[in-house]
Amino acid sequence: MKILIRYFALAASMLLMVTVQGQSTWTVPDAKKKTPNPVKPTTENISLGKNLYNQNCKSCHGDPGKNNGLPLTPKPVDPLSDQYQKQTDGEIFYKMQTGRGAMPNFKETIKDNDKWAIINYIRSLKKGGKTAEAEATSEPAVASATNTDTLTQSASSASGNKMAISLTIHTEDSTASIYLSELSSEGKRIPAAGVEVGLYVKRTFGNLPIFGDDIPVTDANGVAIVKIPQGLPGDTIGNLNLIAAVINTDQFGKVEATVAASFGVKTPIVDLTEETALWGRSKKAPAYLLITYFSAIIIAFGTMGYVVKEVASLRKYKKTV
Amino acid sequence: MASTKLSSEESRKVLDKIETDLIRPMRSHKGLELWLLFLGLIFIVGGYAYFIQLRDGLGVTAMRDYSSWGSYIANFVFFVAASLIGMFISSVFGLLKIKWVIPISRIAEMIALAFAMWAGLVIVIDMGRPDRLHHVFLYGRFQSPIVWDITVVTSYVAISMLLLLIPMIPDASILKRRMSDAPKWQQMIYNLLTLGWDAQPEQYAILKRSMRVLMILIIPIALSIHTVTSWLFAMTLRAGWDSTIFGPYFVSGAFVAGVAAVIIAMYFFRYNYKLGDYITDYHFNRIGQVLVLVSAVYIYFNLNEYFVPAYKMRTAERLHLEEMFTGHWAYMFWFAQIFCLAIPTFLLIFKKLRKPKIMLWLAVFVLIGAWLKRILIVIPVQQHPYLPIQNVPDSFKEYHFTGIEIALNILPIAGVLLIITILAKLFPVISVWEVAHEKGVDETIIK
Ligand code: HEC
Repeated sequence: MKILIRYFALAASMLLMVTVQGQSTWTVPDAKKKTPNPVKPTTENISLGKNLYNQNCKSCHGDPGKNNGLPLTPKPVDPLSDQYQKQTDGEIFYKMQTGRGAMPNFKETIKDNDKWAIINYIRSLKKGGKTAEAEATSEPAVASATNTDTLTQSASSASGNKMAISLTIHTEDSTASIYLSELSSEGKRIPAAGVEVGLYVKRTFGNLPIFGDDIPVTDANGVAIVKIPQGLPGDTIGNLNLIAAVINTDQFGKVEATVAASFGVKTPIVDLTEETALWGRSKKAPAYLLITYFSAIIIAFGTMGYVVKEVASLRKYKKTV
Repeated sequence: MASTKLSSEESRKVLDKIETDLIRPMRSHKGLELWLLFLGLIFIVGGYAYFIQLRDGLGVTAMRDYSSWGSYIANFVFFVAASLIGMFISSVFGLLKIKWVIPISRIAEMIALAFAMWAGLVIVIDMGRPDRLHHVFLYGRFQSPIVWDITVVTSYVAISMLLLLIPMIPDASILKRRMSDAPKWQQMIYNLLTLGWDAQPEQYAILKRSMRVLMILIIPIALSIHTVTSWLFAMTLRAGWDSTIFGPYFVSGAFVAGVAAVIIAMYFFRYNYKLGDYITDYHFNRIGQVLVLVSAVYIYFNLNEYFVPAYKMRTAERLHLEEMFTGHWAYMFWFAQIFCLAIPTFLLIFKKLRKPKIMLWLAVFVLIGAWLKRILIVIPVQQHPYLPIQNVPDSFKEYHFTGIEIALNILPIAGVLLIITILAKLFPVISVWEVAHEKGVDETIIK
């Protein structure tokens, strides 16, 4: 039975190999290739595409540009690779629609417009990729404090100018104001309007967004006001690290400012191994356990000792010599 | 089995016959050299395998990141199981004053001691760094079932030793008298064990009281050795181990393995040691009934252990159970359950079939099944962790026994046989004084 199944599996996989080899290039009907992309690549749309990519594609295709997709055969191609980018939008759309082999089809699971958003995002990477290079060559952060609560960091904007972000916390009404600006070549700060910014709390495994469902966008003065939720757990003395950051890092690079604020809820940190519990260290074993354990040992070996002593006394009763 | 008192002259005659019958096989060494040579060969092969394992590490076994407990642990569980029987037969039946076990209780105790002693060594074989053995005692956590297990197994070895040696006192005094031609060291052992035995009523009182105390104490200890061994598994959250009935399931399984081991030993001693007058068909019939009883209990626990989760088929359990019922482990599983448990139990229901030779074969099957069952309990579960196994070498995914492993699983079995062989050559395998008592021999002359 098992052997039969094995042979069957072997035969099936051989068949599969033949077919896969037979069509190792994934051809798309010409008509489909030419399907135009009906969705405009706006900032919002690209940002939506990015989210969708991270949710649906990244697990196999990896981080764009890092070539760290899953080691499957055939390999899920890196979206930044030439092989991937040289496809038309229509081709990528078609492949998402049909899937092949390990690549699932997303016909029903992702709405058509959302598929186009993913394609927009993938296309934006090619341009964004260049920005990333530019950023690497430019001077990194200019850090300056506009007041005690604020720290500014900057990176280069899409236009090549440096960006600066500052974060001010207003404890009275628990809001944060984020001010985003471009640094002109003369060193003046020009407000950057219409850019999505986020407010986060630094956590051990990443940043926790606290701006809610509506993404804050800077106004004409380059300012976005975000209400800070109450009751956020802080460290042992109630400190929190708040971070203001530009959301679209692909376009603007990493633009962030961090401020320590002291209105988190004090959270005592308990080291689990220091607790008196079954999972604690040996020295922290619960008393009931130790009592049971040692009394069992004492009873068992005590009784055995008693028996040995008894038996040793046999000699006393020896009569015949 | 009447126990009417015999006259002192008859007593002497009967005692003399019993002594002669039971001591004779200790003197005849026919085939012993060949047997020891055979065991020695196994030791040499096993020793070499162990050398390779020490030199190259546990990678020479099939154990990997996922199945980090392999056939050694299964073997350990089997050893602990087989050792349980000493307590069952000698103490439970002894306390219930069931007479027919008298001629086989020492055999059971010898088996128990040999398996229990080697169980500890099997664990050492399983260690990648046996040089750190003492760390278990220095750094072990009292909360860990592993520490409890070491504690109970050690206690069990100690008490089994006492329960073997203390009833040996009157026999030692007889041996001292009858084996005056034995080598010096052997006589020294008898001398030491005699402890001034003089068959005085006070001495009998002490002896019987001591034995009774030990028989009572050994029951909780013996139950704990196998319950705690089952907790090594049941205290985890793994599908297939995370079971509340693992304790009694293991204990009942242990009785099955142990009774089968005793039947094999009884057969061997009956024919090889020519003890047909003492270990009779009646005894086989009785122990056969015991095997039916313990197997029925074990089948009942099996039903609970497999059918209850199989009815619900929770996701994680399902993977495991399907591998057992129809997948990779199916052959072994059904072979163990049907041929090594259900069929022998069924056949032994019939009195006609409870005959030594048939029972020997059935017992061999039961024992093999008991060993396979331990493999099925230990290994497959680990191949279904809650997170899927991904991107690992193929050797991590399946368990294929290596030659080294097989050699090192056979070595302890040879070790057990060696201990039993030595004990059976040093002491009568049937308690002389207890049999004499049963026959109504005057107590005061048993010395
Ligand atoms: C389960 C893993 C998996 C997921 C999830 C996945 N892919 Fe793929 N993808 C593959 C594999 C494997 C291939 C190669 C298939 C082949 O060539 O047969 C592939 C190929 C492709 C190709 C064709 C590349 C070429 O050069 O021919 C495109 C385009 C593609 N994927 C887009 C996507 C998009 C967009 C998503 C998310 C909506 C996605 N994939 C999600 C595994 C995956």
